[in-house]
Amino acid sequence: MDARQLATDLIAHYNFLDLPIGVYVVAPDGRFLACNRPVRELLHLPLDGEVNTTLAQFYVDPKARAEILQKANDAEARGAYLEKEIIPFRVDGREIFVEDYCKPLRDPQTRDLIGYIGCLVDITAEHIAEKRESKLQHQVEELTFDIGRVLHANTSTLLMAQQTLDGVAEALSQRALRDMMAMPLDELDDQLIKHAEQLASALEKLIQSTDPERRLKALSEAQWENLATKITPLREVRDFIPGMEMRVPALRSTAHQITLTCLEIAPGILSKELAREVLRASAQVESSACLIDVLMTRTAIIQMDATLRSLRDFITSEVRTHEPAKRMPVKLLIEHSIKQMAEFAKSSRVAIVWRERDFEGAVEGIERDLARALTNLLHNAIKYSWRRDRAKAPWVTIRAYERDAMACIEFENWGVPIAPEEIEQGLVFQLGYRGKWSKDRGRLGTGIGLTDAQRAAQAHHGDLQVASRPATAGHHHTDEAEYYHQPFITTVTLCLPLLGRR
Amino acid sequence: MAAKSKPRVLWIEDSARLELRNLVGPLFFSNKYEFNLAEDVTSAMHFMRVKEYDAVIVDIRLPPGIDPAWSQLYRQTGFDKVHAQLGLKLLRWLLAKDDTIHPDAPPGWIEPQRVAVFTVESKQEIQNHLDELGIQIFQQKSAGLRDTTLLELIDQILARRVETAQ
Repeated sequence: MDARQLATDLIAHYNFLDLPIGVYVVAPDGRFLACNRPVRELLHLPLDGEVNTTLAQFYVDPKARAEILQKANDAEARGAYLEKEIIPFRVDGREIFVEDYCKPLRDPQTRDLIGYIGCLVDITAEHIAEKRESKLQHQVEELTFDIGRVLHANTSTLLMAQQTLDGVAEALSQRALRDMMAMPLDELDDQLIKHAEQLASALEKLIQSTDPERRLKALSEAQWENLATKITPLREVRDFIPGMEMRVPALRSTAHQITLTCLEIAPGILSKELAREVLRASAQVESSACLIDVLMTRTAIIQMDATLRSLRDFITSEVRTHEPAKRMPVKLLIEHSIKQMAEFAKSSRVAIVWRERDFEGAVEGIERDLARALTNLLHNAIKYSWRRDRAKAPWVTIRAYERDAMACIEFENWGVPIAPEEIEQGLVFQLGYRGKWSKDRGRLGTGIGLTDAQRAAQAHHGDLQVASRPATAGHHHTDEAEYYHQPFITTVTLCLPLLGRR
Repeated sequence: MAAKSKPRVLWIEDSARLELRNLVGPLFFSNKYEFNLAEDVTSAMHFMRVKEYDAVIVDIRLPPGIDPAWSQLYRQTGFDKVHAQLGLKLLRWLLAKDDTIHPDAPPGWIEPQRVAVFTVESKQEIQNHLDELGIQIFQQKSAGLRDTTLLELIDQILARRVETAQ
């Protein structure tokens, strides 16, 4: 029996050519003995009649044909057949990719090779898409690595900036940073306002102490006028410039201008004592203002640093070496997050209150992911806290407890509201979403924290719950004009399956 | 003789306490103006309803505040200041009397000569809008702005108004 006869039998008895996939029979040298319409269409062969060509001539690399046949023979020896072998073909000058499922045809009696039978599937589109996807994947990995590196460099720079600011703050206040951190910014602001009043008085004295004629020999009329206009705003600066953020730079630059003007006073005309008093008072205002600025900038840097670290961890989580899951006491995870956020809390002047410290539950999971989730939640709680009263620093509360066989770790803060629809519609969990009321006072954020924490919880068969309600009881409507200007108590709870006690 | 009242200035800007905080010092200490700051569109509307201003400086990327109509416009752009450009919408409502933006009537005293735009967008980006609304004074926000930039913008508006009146 030869292959042509076998092909004829297949066509006659098994409707071989009606198969809805490209099928062919070729002689050992690749000459077509039979093929159906899908193969003819794929290879641009005549749609009817004999095909006087070989399969081998469509190979982009003619040598590959011999290798494929060898693989087909090897597969046959294993009792299998060649499958999903991707071969580049060239058809009328265009490169296409086909999958060949091929096996040798043998004479039933002699077992001699009489040809090959196979299926051809055009996978050009899928193959190109796969290649593109693989290339993009590679690029993403490279980019992720780069982003990780850049973010690392940024956090190093921020650390240097923070250290520099620490030194500047200590030099300006001549106190240890630790003591300054314990002092609310309001107190520093009060001090600055007092210094501004002293500067106003010193200026007034200087202006009033001499007669106009002598005054004009010391400075020009415009300069005196300029100094005089500053007295009332300096004396009533709290009313003139509402808001510490704007008051501080305004006082700093005004004090600096006063210093520069006073340094131009012609010598020997005015009382040295009074001029010196103005310079001393303006230097005091300038350094107090700089100190507040430095402390506020330091807080912003620490906040940015925490945000960048969390972002870097999130971005590189897919390309890091896989860590095995392990048993962890909840207490340890909480301690870790508090340690991570201690500096940020201190600089934000927010106290961390940890209740139910005796909770002994443990959970199982990837330490790095769970630690990051808790740190993110604590970071948010600190960031979105408002000061409750002048006497006491704001605080966030952490609680840990067991509920329905879950270990629940709860972070509660008093401050920025989350609207009900943001929780109900799951907006707060969307990657990149920033809370509607979270953007006041230039808070930094990436909109990743809650998303990442929820993903980590769910990957550990747990869940994340968010609740936010007005801090004071009473009748409230969501359409009340000032509704979202009042403080809310926001509770974010991460629940993870509790491990059996050991 | 009654003392001459100070020109009234309204700055509509949500970054005045942050990256632009250096600009308000010279303004306050010049003691030349009666100054108000509106940090969102709702507050701006409120200020303009109760007081007539000689100069209004408007940012383009503004948050809506609590007014439902402005909030809805903001929501429609996915809570995004950059795309919402509520400052432009506010100007359209004020100057083009476009009541599709807000159902309330804008204050009657507002006119293009009293308005300057101070924004991060380049002039080319919003030139068509400026022309259409008749606004001639524009300043782009960029790094290294002088502390007196805001003061200079106000002086420009007031000088232009004097020229127009003559």
